[in-house]
Amino acid sequence: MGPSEPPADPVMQRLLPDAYGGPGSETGDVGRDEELRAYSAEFRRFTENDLRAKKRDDALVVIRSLDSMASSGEGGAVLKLSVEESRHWLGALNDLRLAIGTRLEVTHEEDADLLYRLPDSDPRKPMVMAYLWLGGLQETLVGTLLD
Amino acid sequence: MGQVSTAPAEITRPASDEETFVVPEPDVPWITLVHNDPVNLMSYVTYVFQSYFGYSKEKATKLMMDVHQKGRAVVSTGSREEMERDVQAMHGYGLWATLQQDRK
Repeated sequence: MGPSEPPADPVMQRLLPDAYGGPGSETGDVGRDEELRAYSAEFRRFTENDLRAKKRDDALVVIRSLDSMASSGEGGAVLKLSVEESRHWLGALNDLRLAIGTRLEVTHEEDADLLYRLPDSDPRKPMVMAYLWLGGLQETLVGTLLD
Repeated sequence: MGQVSTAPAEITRPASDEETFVVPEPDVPWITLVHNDPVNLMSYVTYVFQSYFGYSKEKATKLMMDVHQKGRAVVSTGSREEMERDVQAMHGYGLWATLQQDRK
């Protein structure tokens, strides 16, 4: 059995969200809200450990494939992924971007747009560059899997 | 949802008052909702709808656009157990999903 309470860390909350409730479900009814929390807690108890294991598997595939890379001698290296590995990579890249996006407080579309206009002196800039680069990598990887 | 391009995206906020959650009734079907978030890529969300639900590219793209523009979309309908399975899968992909009974 897994935990029934949502994680305290906002990143973990985003990776392991509640299954009941969400935007638009607020009723203003205390009893109803309490019921939704109880449903979410029950769902979490039965599913969160599997969800964590899935995300861990995705991350481990990424780490193993990076570990297996050999330098091409020109300061770079080529990584070839199977379809199955690509699926794990997509999941892990998405989790990474969700984590970084949450830390950067990207919660509205306009927040995402502002990232492109940060001055170089902004302390978030290095993380923003990583976030955008991972987005480009994920975008091109999705493109290889879509019909 | 995030886009790699620098084109400005519309701000879509979910309506907050149009749905109420009531005591489950056995005859009312359940739905899986996917909510908009600015991190998930539009292409990735379309990919998830195609690969998990087996939807056509057209249907998956339409649902993705609904999520993006309307703030959320109903991506599947069925029993509570089936919808819990779909929500769990969506969470596995990193999409923000919830289930509820389909109240008109």
